[in-house]
Amino acid sequence: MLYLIACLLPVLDQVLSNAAISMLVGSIQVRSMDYFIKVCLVTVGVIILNPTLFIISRFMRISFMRDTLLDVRMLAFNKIINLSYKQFSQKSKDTYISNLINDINIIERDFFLSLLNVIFNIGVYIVSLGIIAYLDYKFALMAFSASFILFVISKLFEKKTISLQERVSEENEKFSVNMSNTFNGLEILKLNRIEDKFLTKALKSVIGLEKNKLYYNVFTDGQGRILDLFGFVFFIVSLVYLANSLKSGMSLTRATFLIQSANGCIWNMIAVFPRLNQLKSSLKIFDKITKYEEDTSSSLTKNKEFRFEKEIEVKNLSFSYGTKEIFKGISFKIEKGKKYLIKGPSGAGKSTLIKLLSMIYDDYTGSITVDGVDYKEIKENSFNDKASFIYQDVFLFEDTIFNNIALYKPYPEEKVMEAARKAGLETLISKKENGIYEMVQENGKNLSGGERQRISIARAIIKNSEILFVDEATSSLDEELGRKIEETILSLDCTVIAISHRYYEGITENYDYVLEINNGKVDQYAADEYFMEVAV
Amino acid sequence: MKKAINRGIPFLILALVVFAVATGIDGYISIKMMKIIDFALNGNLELFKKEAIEGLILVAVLIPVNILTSVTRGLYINKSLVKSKFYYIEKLFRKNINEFQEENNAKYLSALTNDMNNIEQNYLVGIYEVGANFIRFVVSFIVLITVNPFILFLGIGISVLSAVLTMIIGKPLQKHEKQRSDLFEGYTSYIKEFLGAFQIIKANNLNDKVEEDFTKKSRDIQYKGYVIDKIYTYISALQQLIIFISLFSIFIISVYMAIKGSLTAGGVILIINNMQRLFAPLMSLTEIFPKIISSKALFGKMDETLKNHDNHEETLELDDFSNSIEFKNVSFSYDDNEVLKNINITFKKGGKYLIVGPSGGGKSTLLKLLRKYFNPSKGEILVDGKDLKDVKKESYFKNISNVEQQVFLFEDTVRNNITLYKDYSDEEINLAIERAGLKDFVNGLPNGLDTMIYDNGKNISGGEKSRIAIARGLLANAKIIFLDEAFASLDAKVAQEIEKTLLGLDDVTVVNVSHVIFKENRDKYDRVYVVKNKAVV
Repeated sequence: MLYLIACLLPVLDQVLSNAAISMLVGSIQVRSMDYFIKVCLVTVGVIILNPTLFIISRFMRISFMRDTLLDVRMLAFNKIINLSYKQFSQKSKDTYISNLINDINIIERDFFLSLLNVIFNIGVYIVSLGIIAYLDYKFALMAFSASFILFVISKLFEKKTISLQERVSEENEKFSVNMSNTFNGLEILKLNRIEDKFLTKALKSVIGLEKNKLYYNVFTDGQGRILDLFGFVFFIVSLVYLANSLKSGMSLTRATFLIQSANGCIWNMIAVFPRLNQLKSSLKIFDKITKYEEDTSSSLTKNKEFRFEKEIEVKNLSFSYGTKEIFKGISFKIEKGKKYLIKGPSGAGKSTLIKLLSMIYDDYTGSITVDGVDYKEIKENSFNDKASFIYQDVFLFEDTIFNNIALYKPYPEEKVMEAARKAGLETLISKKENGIYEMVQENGKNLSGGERQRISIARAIIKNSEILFVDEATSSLDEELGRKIEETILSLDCTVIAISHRYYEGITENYDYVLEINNGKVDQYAADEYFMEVAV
Repeated sequence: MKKAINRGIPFLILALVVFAVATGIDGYISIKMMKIIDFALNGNLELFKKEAIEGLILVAVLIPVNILTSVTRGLYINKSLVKSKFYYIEKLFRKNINEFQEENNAKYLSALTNDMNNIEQNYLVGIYEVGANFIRFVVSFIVLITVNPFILFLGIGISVLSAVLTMIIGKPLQKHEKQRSDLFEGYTSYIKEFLGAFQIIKANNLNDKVEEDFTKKSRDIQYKGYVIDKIYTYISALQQLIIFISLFSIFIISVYMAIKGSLTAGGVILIINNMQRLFAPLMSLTEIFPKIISSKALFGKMDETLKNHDNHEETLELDDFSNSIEFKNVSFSYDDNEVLKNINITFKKGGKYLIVGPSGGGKSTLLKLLRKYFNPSKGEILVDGKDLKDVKKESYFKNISNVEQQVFLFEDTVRNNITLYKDYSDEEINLAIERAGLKDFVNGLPNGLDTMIYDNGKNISGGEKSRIAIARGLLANAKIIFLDEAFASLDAKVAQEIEKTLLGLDDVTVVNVSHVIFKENRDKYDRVYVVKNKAVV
């Protein structure tokens, strides 16, 4: 409410300025020095009032904006964090980043700016029309009809504008996809010496895209100018009308004030439409990033505990992601305590296999059972308590190493220290002034890649995880460090299921089994047998 | 990059000329209005009517002129953008394969979309606006000079003064903007982190903690923004005050002069309407220039990415491959990381070679050297005695054909995807299809070979794609075939068959880099090279 008032103050300011100018012009007619000086004083008052009103209005608005934007950020954030992992992985990470950053920026910029302008435009229009009606209602009728004609013309243009805009947006997307594909294949094109043909294709699509943008630009730009011209015509017509009134004795002050107000009607009517459209599209974005989406996941009764004493058995499992068939009836067993290495070409489904084994995907056919209990009947929390994950990137809180290992659960200090030791973190802790209570900086800036991975391992140890899933833990580490980390992982007691494309001579052979994914099928090999082949 | 964009300058000139005409007519109408008002006030009905009608005619003329203005402006932007995008894409295509692959494709795409948008909005539009504002200024200048030169020069003096004051007052804002930019970076990287770790957060029930952190960072940003806004408010108010004082002082002086008789009422109204047009261009220049300058910085950034760093001059042609490819003491390092050391191996014409080894061991590097993506850091590769480094890429590529793991299919017929737009007889094509095990696939298509492939072959299985790649390789009839993990997506039986076919090709050198090995075929290779630990065994 307060915000509305704040937006109306500039309207007041505009009217007062118009009045001051009118009086100034009118004083030419009056021709008395006294009157002129009086008018000058009024003008000075208006000059001082302007920045004052501006400051008041703005202060009222910016604190409202600040709090609203904070709420918007939290709403957008909550929408994301409350998704299940399955829903979350349906969109790319970039989409969410765009939501939390770009979209909010657009709202910050466009929404509030256009809201303010729309209220201002409508306010000035109504007040000006009112003033005119009070002073000369014939003229008010003229002004009103002119603005109505403008309204109709704008509406006529609107549909075409929107369709041109959508066309540009589509072409942009098509262009991006095409170029992306071409870049992906450029290596092949160059090797086969057909890159020129594709260069021509690319250039053609550039011309097509820019052509559509040209149409849109000319249409909107031209539209604006035509509306301006119309306003201009009305101005001249009003001049004619008022010239007649002046003849009949109207004061110059009043005539000027009428012309100023009439201008106010017309120009604000012209300006309000694009702003309204901007407002509408900002609101659409707001909806997009804050509205909750339906959770279409299954709702089977999950009430059993996760108990892993012997083995996890995968029987005749088939799984498709979208239209792509990834696994076609695979079967294998995971024995407790053994270390498994998953291998296969990129895109074959290594990460998907881990997601299936860690209960992230549940829309498969066939069965996964652990000690005879079907995965689909087990409580997720129960599984999460016994499983740990190590990925290439480690997520660290800006908190102590202690809390980063314990993850805010109430473990006793000795347990945390022991986990840190087993993970190979002693050197790090002894180096730091506060030992295990040393603060980890933003994103773990003050730790090396290897140290971050060891914290990841410590988390797995302290949880007493029964099963550890590893996805490319050492890909971003150098050879020597990678060896040590791989060694540490293989020395743990728990069952390990890992993906790694790296080969560390002497270490990698210590896996028990290799699961090789090939064309939707999984073959199990004993690790020493598998690596013998490669070594010829 | 700059040269490419500047090719749009003729269109810029055209657009500005049209704009000048439009603005000129506009200014003339302004003067007419002054006369209309004065005649009205004087009661001179005849002249009043004449001027009014002329004014309306001029406005009618303005309609097509204004449309032309929009068209020429749009044309300028269009031409400039097309030329710069052409330049960028062309240069990108000319990059050496390995240098192109050094950057993520996303970076190139971002340059073509985001950066180009920036250039469009800030540089191209900015330059136009500078020209347009200059024209507006000149026209207002001329209009006002016909009314009263004194007021004109007073107006210019005051507007220059306010523009300078406005700029000076705006300086302190920069420090706070920088702080906000830093906070924003932290916010952005935090978001990327927590999105990347979404699963861990959910699996460990850390929702609340993450929410707490996020709230804190958001709050910091919004409050910093608020502080900046407050300062900006004061600065803005001051700037507005200066502008108001300037404008109104000119009005007051004009009215005074009118009262004293040296100006007419119409003149005063003309001044009021045109003063803004004198002021505004100067004010907007202070905004536009920084935008143009920051946009220009993008040119340099783009030029860097487009450069080819390896400009070794290639002079030799390779018309035929008749003897061998020899690696002599070849070593190769990626920056400081040595991947191959002192390799000495030979590939003889017609020979069949199998290259195996663990991932990351150097197999793919060996292949890239063979394909001339890189030149060796030490030692040389001799093809028929010629140093591969000196052989022209085009010429070398004519002699080799490649089968790769990630098959690139483009939107065209199956036939074109296999022949790659080169001419082959139907028998040749059918032979290649048969050898690649594609016969069943092609027979099952609605239009046979002329069926269109869409969307990078979304509906084609990995195995079938691999076979298309193999058909391509076989069809090319090259002297050397390089296979890069070509069998990875194939059924064991099919792969074995195809491997047998390849091994049976007469006079063709086959180099197969693979981790898939079939015991039966292994002996048919002339040599099996194991790449491990920087060496080849």
